[in-house]
Amino acid sequence: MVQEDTGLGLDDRDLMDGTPPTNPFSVHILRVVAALVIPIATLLGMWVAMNWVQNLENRFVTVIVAIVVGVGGVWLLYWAMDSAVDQLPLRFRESVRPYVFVGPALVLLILYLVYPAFYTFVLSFQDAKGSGFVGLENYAFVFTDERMLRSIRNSIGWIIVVPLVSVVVGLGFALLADRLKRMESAAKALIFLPMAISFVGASIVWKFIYSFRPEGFGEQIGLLNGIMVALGQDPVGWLQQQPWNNLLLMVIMIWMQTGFGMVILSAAIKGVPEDIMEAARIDGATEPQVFWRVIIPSIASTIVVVLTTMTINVLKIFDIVWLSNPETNGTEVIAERMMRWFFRNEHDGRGAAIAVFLFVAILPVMILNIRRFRREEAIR
Amino acid sequence: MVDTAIDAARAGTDRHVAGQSKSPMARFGRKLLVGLPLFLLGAWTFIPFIITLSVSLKTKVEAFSDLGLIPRNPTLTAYQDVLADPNFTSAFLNSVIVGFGTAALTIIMGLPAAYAFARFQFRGRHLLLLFTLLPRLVPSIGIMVPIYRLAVATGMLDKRITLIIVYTGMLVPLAVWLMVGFFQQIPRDIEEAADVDGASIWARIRYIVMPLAAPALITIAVLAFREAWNEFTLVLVLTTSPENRTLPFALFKLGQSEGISNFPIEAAFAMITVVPFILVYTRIERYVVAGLTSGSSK
Repeated sequence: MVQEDTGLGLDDRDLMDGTPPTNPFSVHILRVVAALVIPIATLLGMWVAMNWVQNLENRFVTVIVAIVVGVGGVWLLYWAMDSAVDQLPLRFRESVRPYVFVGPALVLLILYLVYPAFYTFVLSFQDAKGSGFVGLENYAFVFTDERMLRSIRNSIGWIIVVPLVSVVVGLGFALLADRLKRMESAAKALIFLPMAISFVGASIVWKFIYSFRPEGFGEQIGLLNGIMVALGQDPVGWLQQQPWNNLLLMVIMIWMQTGFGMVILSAAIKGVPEDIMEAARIDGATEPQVFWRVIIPSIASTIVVVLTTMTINVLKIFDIVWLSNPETNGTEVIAERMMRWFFRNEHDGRGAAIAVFLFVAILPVMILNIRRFRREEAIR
Repeated sequence: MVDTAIDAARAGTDRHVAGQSKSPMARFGRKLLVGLPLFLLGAWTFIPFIITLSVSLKTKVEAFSDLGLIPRNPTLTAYQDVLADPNFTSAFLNSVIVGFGTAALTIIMGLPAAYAFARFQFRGRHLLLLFTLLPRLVPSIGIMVPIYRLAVATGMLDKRITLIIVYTGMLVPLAVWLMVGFFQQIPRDIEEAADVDGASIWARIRYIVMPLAAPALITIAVLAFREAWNEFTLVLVLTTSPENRTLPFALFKLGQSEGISNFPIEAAFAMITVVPFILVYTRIERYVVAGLTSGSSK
C-alpha cells in the first residue's frame, strides 16, 4: 500500500524540534522519574486497593469495585502524571510528557519480558530446585535426552508444516472467495470460526473425529473410524500411529489458524492495484503468471507477517499436544517438554534450559522482523 | 471508493474469463473449479463443529453407540447438566471477569503509549517502540516460570487479577502495534484545531482520537477478550483453586476427571464456551477485520 502521510512525517519535525536539542542533565533525571516512579506507584496503589477488595464478602460487589478501581485508578494516574508534567518549566514539558505516556506500558513489559528472560537464563545453569549451579549440565540434557531430541524434531516439523499449509490454504481461500460475488463475507465468516475456540475446546472437538476404541470396548465413535468401519476396514488408533499422529495434531492447529491467515491475506490481495494486474494482462500474462509475478510479490511482506505470527504461535503450542498423551505417543514438542520439566517433573534447571533453547531458536525470526520493522520505520 | 475499485476489479476478471471461454460448459467448469475447493474448505472448517453439536444433543448411551450425525432422540440434558454444574457457573463468571478486565486494562495501558509513539518525537522513541513490539515475537510459554515465581513471591498466586495483569502484558504489544498504525492515519490538523480551541490532550484523545480509532479499539478489546477467554496454560500455572479458574481449565478438568468420559457433556461444554464469543464476534466482525488488516498490510 502506498504511504499517503509523508507530508505529516515532515510536519512532525517542524512541530517538535523546537525544544529537544539542548537538554540539561536534570531533564534526563526527570524523564527517568517520570518513566519509572509513577507507574510503579500506580501498580502499588492498585495492588493495595485490590487486596482490600479481595476481603469483601459479596463476590459481585468485589468484581464491580475491582473494575472501577483498576480502570479508574490507571486513568487517574495518567491524568495526575500529565498534570504534574504541566507544572514543569515550559522548555522541559514536551520532552518529559511522552515518557509519562509510554512508561506504564514499558514497566509492564519489563515485568513481563526482560525480567523473566534474565531469570530463566540464570535458572538454566542451576539444579532441579534452583539451589546450586551445575554449569552446562542442563544444556547437555537438552541435546542428548531421547525425548528432548524427538521433541525438537517434532517441533521443526510443526514449524515447517503448520505455517506453510495455513498460508497456502488461507491464500487459496482468499483468492477463491474473492471470485464469489455474494457469498464472500459469509464464506469468510465461516472459515474464521475456529479462531473463536480455545485449544482445549479444539482438542475436544477433534477428539470426536480421531477417537478410537480398542476391540471389545464398544462401537467406534470417532468420525474417521466410523468411516473406516463403514468401508469394511479395521479401525485405526489414529493418535497412536507414529510418526503420523504428529501430522494429525498439526491438522488441528492448521484448522484453527487458516482463518486468521485468510483474513489478512485477503485484505492484502484487495490492496494490490488493479491497473498493475491489468497492465500485465494486456502484455499477455496468463492468470497464473499474474498471480506469481504480480500478486505474490505485492503481498510478500504481508505473507512474511502472517508466517511469523504463525511460527510464534506454533512454538508455544502446548495444550493440543499435552492433551494427547505425548510421552506414550511420541508427539512431544519443545514447549510441552518445558512445561513437563517445570511442573510435572519438578526440574527447574532443565525446564529453563529448554526455554532458553526456545528463545535462541526464535532469534532468526526475531532478527528478520526487527530488520523489517526498521525498514518500515525509515519509510514513515 | 474502495468498493468501486473492487467492483472494477471483479468486472475486469469477469471480462477476462468471458473472453477465454464462451461455451456454457466451460463456464460451468470454471464455476466448479472455484466452488468445489471452496466447498471442501468450508466443510473442513465446519464439520468438526457440526459433529460436536450433534454429540452434544445425544444421550450418553447414544453418543457411545451410534455414530449418526442426526441424534435419534435429541435432548438438551447435556446442556442442562453443564449449566447446573457449579464448576461451570464459577468458571464462566471468572472468564467473563478476566475477559473484560483484560480488555479494559489492555486498552488503558496501550492507548497512551500508542498515542505518544504516534504523535510525539522524543529521544529513544524508535528503540522503545521496538522494545514494545518485541514480546510479540517471544513465545509466551518460555517465561512461565519466572512469572510463576514472581506471583508466589508477591502473594499474587491464585488470583484473577494476576491473570488479568499477565494477559495484559501479553496483549499490550499487539494493542500498541495496531493503535500506532491507526493513530498515524488520523490527520494531525483536526487535533491542532482542537488544541487552538483550548482542548486539553485528554479531551483530544477522548473526543477526537478514540472515536476515529474505534475499529482498532474494538479489535483490541475483542482479541484481548478472546485471549483471556481461551487461554489455558497460564490458568494451569498461576491459579490453584477451582474458584479462580476459567472455562478452558474447567473443560480440561471435565475431560480428565471421569474414568469414562461423558461425551455429550464435554461437547455441550465446548459448544457453550464457543457460542458467546461467536455471537459477539459476528456482530463486530467487520471492525475486527478492518482493525487487523490496517496494521499488517502496510
